[in-house]
Amino acid sequence: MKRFELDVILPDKPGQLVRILEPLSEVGGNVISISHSREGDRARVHLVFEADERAAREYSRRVSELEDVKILRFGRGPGHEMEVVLIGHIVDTDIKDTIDRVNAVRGVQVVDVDLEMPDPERRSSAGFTVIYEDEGALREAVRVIEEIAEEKDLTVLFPLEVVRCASSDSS
Amino acid sequence: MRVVRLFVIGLGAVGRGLMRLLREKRDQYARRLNVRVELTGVADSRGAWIGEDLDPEEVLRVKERHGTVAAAGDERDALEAMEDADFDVLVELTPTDIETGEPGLSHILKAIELGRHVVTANKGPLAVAYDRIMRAAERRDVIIRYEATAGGAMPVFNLVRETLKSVDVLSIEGVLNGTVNYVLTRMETEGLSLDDALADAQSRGIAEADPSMDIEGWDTACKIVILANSILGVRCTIDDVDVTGIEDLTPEAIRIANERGYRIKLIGRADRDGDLLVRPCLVPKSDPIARVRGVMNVVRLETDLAGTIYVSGRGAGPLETASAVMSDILSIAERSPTTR
Repeated sequence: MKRFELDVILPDKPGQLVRILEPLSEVGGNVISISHSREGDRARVHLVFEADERAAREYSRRVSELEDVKILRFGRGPGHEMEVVLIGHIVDTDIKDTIDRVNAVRGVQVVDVDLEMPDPERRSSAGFTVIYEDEGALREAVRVIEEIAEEKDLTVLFPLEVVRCASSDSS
Repeated sequence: MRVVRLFVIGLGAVGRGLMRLLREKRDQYARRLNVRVELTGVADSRGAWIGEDLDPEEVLRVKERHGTVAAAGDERDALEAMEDADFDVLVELTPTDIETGEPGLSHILKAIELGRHVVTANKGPLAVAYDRIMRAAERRDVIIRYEATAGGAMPVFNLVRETLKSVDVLSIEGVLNGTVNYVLTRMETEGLSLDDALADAQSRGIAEADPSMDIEGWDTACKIVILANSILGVRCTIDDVDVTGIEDLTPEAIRIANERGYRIKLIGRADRDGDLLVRPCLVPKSDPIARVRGVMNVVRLETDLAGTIYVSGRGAGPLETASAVMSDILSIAERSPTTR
């Protein structure tokens, strides 16, 4: 199984997401992550999935035949992922800006965001997956996330492996 | 029979644990190791008691009844009492102060000046003045042992010194604070808030009344400094550590991390390049460090020849810590015997 990604534009109406997910399960692919963002009356979906090469091509063919669905990009997905957890006033400090700034790093994409806000007065917690192309992209993503965390007074938790590399880099 | 005479300063939980241990195991050490451990002086913050062979049971009784050993001795301070006492090893067990290292630092330097060996469980002096203490000890040719300062009963300094002589340790990382690990474990398993998990730890006698040193990561930082100096040969003090504690951690963050295959642990880490940090990290559930639960500690040593080595054990508790102190005392007794 290899990893692929697909960016598509759909009408922002109920039942649209399932139209692009059904053919994936039909070809035997697995969803790794999916992010959905509304852009006016349309929605943009970024899907990362695992499948073998032939099934992935078959899937993209089927999606391209769907009415009102436009494929922006289809290709081999990024090879690496990093999980990140943020704690603090994540929403008040503009979570969209946080994600946009990480996404602005070349070769990096934020997917699969979980946000928990137990009480507006209290700190909320968020988890997200950062997909990155190579070590350089990872290092820059870590630097940008640290910078945002400092600026917005958020606590950021990285995987131990990333902390270890970051600490040997700085020396 | 070798004889080692102790002067013990500090009769808090660990000091009293050491008295209990002396009372219960002294005869066994004499039989098994041919070492007789004697107590020739004790001191607390209010006074000192010097004698030829003090009874640990009696020390405990006086301390409990009067709150100070001055009741059986006098109000001399520890520094003065050390000059008058006849002892081989100073056992320094006063509370940790990470700003100044005092009063432990003065006690240790005084013992060295007097040409006496030192065993300590007090992190403060080593976290602020490791290099100074070791240089002084070298000049006077005395031994300094501090196994109990990192990881309580978990043997790490002595393991490296005695058993890993042939290798270089490249980096050290792990969980070095039992209170924090207990709190994180409770937050994870019960979904408790930090405050509730902390209250639970306090009610069980695991966390201190003021747990800020633990929660804010400074206790772990002290241990990292001592490990880095001792095992990696990195000359550093507490000021060189980049410290983040767990004070902002939420049960929701722990749950999110869990769902993504991680546990949150407060990690202390040091490497040969002198990078020293303490911060909460996401540790994959399959990593042995993630599997250490409750008050347990764990250290992972990366070595040049022997690969990766793990040590795990109970990081706190009066008897556990006292046992590490006693092991250091016995090892000094074996190296530097006073035979009678």
